[in-house]
Amino acid sequence: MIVADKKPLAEVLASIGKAGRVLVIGCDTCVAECAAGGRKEVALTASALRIALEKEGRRVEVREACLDRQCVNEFLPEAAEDMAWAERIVSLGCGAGVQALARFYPESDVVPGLNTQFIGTTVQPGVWVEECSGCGDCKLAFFGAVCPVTRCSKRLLNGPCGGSKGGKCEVSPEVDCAWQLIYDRLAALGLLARLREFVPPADWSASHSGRPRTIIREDRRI
Amino acid sequence: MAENELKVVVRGCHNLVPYRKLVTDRQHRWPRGVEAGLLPCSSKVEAHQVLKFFEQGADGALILACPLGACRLVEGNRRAAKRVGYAAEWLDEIGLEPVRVRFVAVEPDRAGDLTELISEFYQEIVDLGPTPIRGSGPGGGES
Repeated sequence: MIVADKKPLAEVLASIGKAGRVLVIGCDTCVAECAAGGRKEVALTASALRIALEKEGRRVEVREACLDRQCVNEFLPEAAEDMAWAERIVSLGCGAGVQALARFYPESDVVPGLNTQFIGTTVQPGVWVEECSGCGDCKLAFFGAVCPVTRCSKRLLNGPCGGSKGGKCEVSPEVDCAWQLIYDRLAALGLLARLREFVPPADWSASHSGRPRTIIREDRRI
Repeated sequence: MAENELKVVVRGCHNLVPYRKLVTDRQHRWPRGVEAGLLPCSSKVEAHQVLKFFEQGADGALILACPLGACRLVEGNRRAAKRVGYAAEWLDEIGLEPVRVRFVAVEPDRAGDLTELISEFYQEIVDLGPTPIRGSGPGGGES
């Protein structure tokens, strides 16, 4: 999922400017799972804005809404009435959601309420960890489903380096050495021989390098 | 604003028997402005609900829970403590004193004087004074 966290309230207030009608709109998919932009966070942000604005002596109406997915056009018409009403829209979607919403409603002034961080997993309640860099050339098959591109601080495809000590990375004792994880997992699976296979260099042209990536599936197009 | 216009919201677990007795006792007289209610578990309180109290004009919010280690749902009161702490962080960010919201796991030695505990918190809110929020502004939305 896409993992995000909240922007400072002061930044959101600044982006609202002098608008008198504000819509806070969440997304009930990835950012709901990471407790940043689901219905509860919409309620929290809207309440905080109402209190902060009233404290400043401003009379601003703040509405709340939440879409199932902000990044998919089919879900966006549901917000049409609120979008038309609002002078400023604070999106608690990820960066893709913010842009999809703004593109779908070209007359609306949409600002982000979150900082989008990474593709990650919920490793325990309240803890989200980056696990995928979206590099476009997945090598997980070689590495026991542990991604060295994301989880190794040096992105080594031929680790470990000399900085691996006691299963931890020299960057921080809090960080697991990805190559220790790879070794342990392959050992547990009895697949250590896989580490003897030659791993071709990554095709970095498939990564985010100078242009937005696009995938086109003709069988899914209308 | 006069002291008697202050609003303090108290919520507590219904398994906290002394508190439940107070709330269900129709003869009990709460300090003026105290609005008390029961929760199925203290952990039912979430940060957005605490902020809603303040948005609707509360000057303080007190969440009462069973003693730590004695929650019937095992972890409920610990989770409530964290959620109230998170709500306090939001209040701080908004510019309201974070001490306006408090979580108390009522240990057995204080269960007999809950009225005093609530009065102490009420007095702290009196000393802080009211927030500038009276819950009268436009908006509202769903809770």
